[in-house]
Formats: sequence, structure tokens, C-alpha cells
Amino acid sequence: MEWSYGKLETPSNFVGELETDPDSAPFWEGLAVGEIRVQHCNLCGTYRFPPGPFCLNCGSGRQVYVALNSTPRLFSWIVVNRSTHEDMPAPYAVAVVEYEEGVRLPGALRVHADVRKLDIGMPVKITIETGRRPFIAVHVGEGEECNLSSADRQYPRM
Amino acid sequence: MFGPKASISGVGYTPLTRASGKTPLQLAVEASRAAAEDAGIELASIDGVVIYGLHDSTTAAAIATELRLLNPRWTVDLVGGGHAACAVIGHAAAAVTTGLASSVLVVRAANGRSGRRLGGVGEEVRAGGSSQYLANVGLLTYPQQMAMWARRYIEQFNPAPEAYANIAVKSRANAIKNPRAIMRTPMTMDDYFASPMVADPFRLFDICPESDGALALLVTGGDRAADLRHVPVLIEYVEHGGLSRPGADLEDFLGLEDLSRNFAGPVARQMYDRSGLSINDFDLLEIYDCFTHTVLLTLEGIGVAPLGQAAEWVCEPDTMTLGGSMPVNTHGGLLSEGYLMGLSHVAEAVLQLRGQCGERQVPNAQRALVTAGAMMQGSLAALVKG
Repeated sequence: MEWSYGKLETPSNFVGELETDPDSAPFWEGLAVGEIRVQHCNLCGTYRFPPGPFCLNCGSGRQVYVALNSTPRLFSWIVVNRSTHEDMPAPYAVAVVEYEEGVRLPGALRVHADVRKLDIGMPVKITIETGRRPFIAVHVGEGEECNLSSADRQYPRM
Repeated sequence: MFGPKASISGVGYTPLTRASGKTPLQLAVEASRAAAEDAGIELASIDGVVIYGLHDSTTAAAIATELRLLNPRWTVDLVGGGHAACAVIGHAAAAVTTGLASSVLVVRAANGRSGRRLGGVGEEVRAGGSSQYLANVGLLTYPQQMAMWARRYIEQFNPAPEAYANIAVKSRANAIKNPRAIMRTPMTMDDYFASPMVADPFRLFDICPESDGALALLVTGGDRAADLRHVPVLIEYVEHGGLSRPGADLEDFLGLEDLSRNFAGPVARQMYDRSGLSINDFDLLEIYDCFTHTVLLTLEGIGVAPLGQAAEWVCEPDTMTLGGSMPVNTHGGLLSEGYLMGLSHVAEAVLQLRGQCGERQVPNAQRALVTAGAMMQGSLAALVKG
């Protein structure tokens, strides 16, 4: 899709009621210290996100949390033009990225100035930003953040 | 499967509105009475109630109480969204064919617009389970989630934007002939493309409106159906299931193998294998359509078009339309009739097979396929005129 939105809002993040559970706590603790931690099965080596009590490949309960370190790629994205919650003023963008370890995570999408077109499979850079909870930001391109409002850009086809 | 042993004998609606001014229980009772009246059955003799919803409705026992049923021996409260709309018909059919009950009301009742909205607009959000990860970055509602599926599909298969417009416009054209529908203003392709982006790639007209209302269907055993008011509509086959990883909850889509296929493929294969039916055996399709994109995924799953090619099919001039080669969502679907969580697709199929649909009647409709669900899990029903 041709990137044609102007400056997006960059809300810190959602501050409604977010729950934590025993499976998710290590993920949130990891983000707080700058790591993206997902489950890794000690028996078969399968990675899992979102977390759950048993390995989805072999059924073992011997999963530990490890930090991801491959370069993720853009899997899909949306632009929210109509806000559905006061904490998240529109427009803002959300991405899902895919890691080589085989897991996907959602993040706030930050499009930088040299990007003309978004494609699935583009390599992205990840930062962890501070909000009410820390959150993942997904950066595409280089330079100043998303300021592509020129009228000559085509409105997205869909 | 159920063959002639279970049928849908009664259909009862409340009006669909944006603000009913009634409780879900009042709506459920009103629809249930209408279904019993339509069937011509004595209300108090009904001995089963199945209700489904996502913590936004009433209970089977409460309905049985208000209806003053004499012997409510089979009451079921099922937690489920649109994916359950055909499955609940299967549960009722299983009950009447095994003697757990003789006649069962299947109910959906909610204030979907004036009460808790599934679109999540303006409500307090408590995000647990899979949604805690999504909500943290602003992925808060089903339209936003399904838009993520749609963007992936669009980038993979490059469907014409007109495909989405066709689904919205053709559904609206059908709804105009449906007095129950809440969206009956004519819609052109230009109107579709002028509708605002809400969750790009979804425009407003890609998303169904929420509504208040209730619908009840009466399922009876085959031995009773012959004595009732209308020609029975037989519950030929029902299947429920989906992807091998159904997910911890309705928001658990990040770990799916793919976002280009939904439940419909595996569930349709199950039905076709067990029944010997194929897509060519159906005279009309009622396809669950919380979003336009859902229709594309489901049409591909049930075998109307190969993977990535349903867009071309919906753009053909004679598809989906009343009087066309394969009518789809003859009532206007969730997109234009209103949102009754999919049970309305079953009801419309029943009315079509009875021949009661007036100016939107599909000529000589003998067998209908109904789908329920959008994402990981869903259900299908094959209904045939008795």
C-alpha cells in the first residue's frame, strides 16, 4: 500500500484496564527491562506467543521465557482512523511483526520519512517505549517519523 | 445426520432497533412467544431452551421462567459469538433426536447497540487473555482485528477494492426488500468508496452495524413437525469446528499459521465428507458477514472460489443478487439487516425455504447453506425444505 497518511498520533499507550496472568507476567517483566521474552520449549525447541501453559508442538510443560533476537519482518498492519477509546486518539497505526523464531507480536507502527510503500515482509526495527505499561514500537524506514501528508500521494486503494 | 428427524418449525423476531428500551430478557420472551405462535405450538409444552451470547444476554432458565414452561428439562447457556449460530441449531437438533427434549427454543437476545457494543466504542475495556497484548498498542475491537487479517490478505492476493464494494452494495440491495432490515437506504459503489476509513483497510461500510433485538427459532422432532403450521425445514447437517488451533479466546489470532483462511475450509470439508453434499447442491447461501472481508474468506472456505479468488466471484454481476446464479445474504446480512450474531442467517434460510420472503424470495429454493463465524472457529448448517 502506498503510504499516504499525514502525521499520525503517537499515543503513549492504552491505559484502560489491562490484566496480567501467570503466563503473561514474564512477558511484561521482560518488556520493563527492554527485552521481548516469549516461551521456548526445553524439549522440542518450539517458540510460543501469546504464552500458554503447554508447548503447542509437543505438549510439554517445560517452557521457559527467552529473549527474541532475530530481525522481525512486517506481517500485517492497520491504520485506525476512528478512535474507539479516549486513550488512543486516531489516527494511529498498529503492526503485527513476525520473528524468525516463528512467533508474531503486535506493536505500535511508526513509519519514518523515507517510506513510500509498506509491504509485508519488510524488515523492521523494534524499540520498547514507556507507557502505563511498556510497549513495543515497530519502526519502518529511516529519518523523521511519519510526515507524509503531501496531497500528491494516492489514497490507499482499500 | 439428522435427516427428517429434526426441523425448524417456528421463527420469531422482535423488531431490530438501535435502542430497544427493553431488557434482553424481555426481548427474548417476545421473540420466543412469536416463534411458538409461528409454529402453532402450545408455548407451555416447549421443554428446551438454548441461548448463546458473549456475556451480553439473559439465561435459558430465566426465559423458561418468564414463559412459564411446564417442564423445562433441557436448558443450555452457551458462551459463544457468531461462530455458534449454526452450532446451537445442532445442539437443539441433537436434543430432539435423542429424546432430551421434544421441542427447543434457540434464542439470541441482546441490546447490541444501546447496551454493550461488540465494536467496543465508548466502553470501559478490561483486556485479559490474548487481548492484553493487543490492547496495549491500541488493537481494541473486532473490526480492528479483522482489518489486520484483511490487510494481510490484500497484500497477498491483491483483490480488487471493488470486491469489497460489491459485497456491501449487493447486500444492501437485498436488504431494501427486507422490511426487518435497519439499513435500507440504497447504496451505490460511489457511496461505498465515499464511506470513511475506520480501520484501514476497512471503511465504515465494510463493518456491520450493531443492533438491539432478539430472534428465536423453534426446533422440533420430526414426529411433531408434520402437525405444525408451516412446511417443516429440515436440519439436514450441522458442523462446528475450525482451524486446528482454535485459540485460547476469540482474540487469539497471533499464533495462527496463516490469516488468509478461516474456519470455513475444514468445517465445510467435514460437512461435505459426511453428507456427500457439495457446494453445487445449494440454491442459496447465507454467509456470516460481520465484515465484508469475512465473506471472501468464507466463500473460499466453502468452495465457491479457490483461495485468493473470491473477489472475482463477488464482482460477477449475477452473483449474490436475488434472481442471480447464486443468491447470498438474501436478507441483507449482518451488514445491512442488523446484527443478531448470525442466528438471523439461519432464520432467513428457513423463511426462504418456506417460500415466505415476498419480493426477495429466491424462486424454487430447496436447500440452503448457512455459515456462522469469521475467524478461527465457526459452524455450518445445511437446511432443506421438508
